[in-house]
Amino acid sequence: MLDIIIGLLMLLSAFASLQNKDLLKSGVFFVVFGFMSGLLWIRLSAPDIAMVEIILGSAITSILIFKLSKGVRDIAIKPKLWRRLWAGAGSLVLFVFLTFYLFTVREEERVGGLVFEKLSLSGVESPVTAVLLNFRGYDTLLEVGVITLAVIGILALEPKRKIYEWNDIVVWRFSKIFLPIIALFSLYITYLGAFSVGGAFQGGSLLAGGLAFLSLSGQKLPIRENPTLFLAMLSLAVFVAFAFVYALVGHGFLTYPLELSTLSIMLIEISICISTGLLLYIAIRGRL
Amino acid sequence: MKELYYLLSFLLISMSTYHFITAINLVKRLIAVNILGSGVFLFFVATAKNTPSENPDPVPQLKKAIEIIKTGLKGYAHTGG
Repeated sequence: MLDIIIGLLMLLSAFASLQNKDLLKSGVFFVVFGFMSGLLWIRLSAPDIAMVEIILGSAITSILIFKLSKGVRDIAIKPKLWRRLWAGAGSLVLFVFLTFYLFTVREEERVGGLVFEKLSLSGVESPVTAVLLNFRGYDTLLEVGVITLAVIGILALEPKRKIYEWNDIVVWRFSKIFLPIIALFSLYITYLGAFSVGGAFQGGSLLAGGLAFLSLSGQKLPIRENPTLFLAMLSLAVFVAFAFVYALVGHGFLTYPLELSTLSIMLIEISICISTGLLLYIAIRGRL
Repeated sequence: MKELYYLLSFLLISMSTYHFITAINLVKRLIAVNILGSGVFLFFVATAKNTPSENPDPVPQLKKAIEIIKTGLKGYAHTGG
């Protein structure tokens, strides 16, 4: 019952966010959408994802959207009729084809059993972290690379734009008091990822939330530009270094030796936490 | 009951696809892509939950965490310039 209400609210807020003519209002509805989907992930017993969704999907992405919508004037031109027609027909066909999947869906054992079977070999106790950094570490390596590249793209384009800040005394005081606590707590969440709910990306996005407050209040991190860039690229460097060192020693690419696996995974996770936080901070601020 | 999750994800996917094609404003298009991503991940998470065993399957779950960051940042990098 609760799921149905959450699902309906999610659908409604998505609809409102997409249909609204005013960009600011559709941004606000997008926040609501992110929060509702976060609640739905909890109901679907995926708390790791819910954490990221509520911090990132509804908070940080919305800051980016608000920042963008400030400069862009909402164009009131309606799309041409033929374009709306073929878009409507296309999405209707897409929906019908997807609905056919419902006739074939059934409960079945997937690779999850295999993960729980081999969990003791991974070096961590949380299955999600084990898959993320050990069993499918190759994917995560490339994803970290993609995030880093996206931020390099932003850095190349952004400096023409003004820094987006609110210049608000409340935000400033808030960030001054809470940033140390948030930073400490994000490291704690990263550490917790080895045992239960949490992990590098969760901690990193929390850190990014704290840094976003700092940036919005018109302050700057008390680190100079080159070290900031170095710390932001750190996770990719650490990840690649681990992969190649173990490959050269003879274990294979990203295959950790059993006794060193916990240590390696923790080091990689902490570097990912710091880097994700700083990368998102750079994305919000638009420069170093 | 489980079919409803799939249905919700299909609705979100098709709705945001329509808006992705018709939106003229790039910020609107960014929002549509984000919602499209949420719909796809709802499908993944519902699939992860759809097992006879007690624990949900962690493999489809993990992608989401990074993917949220990626969708936001990549879309932003495209429209930001």
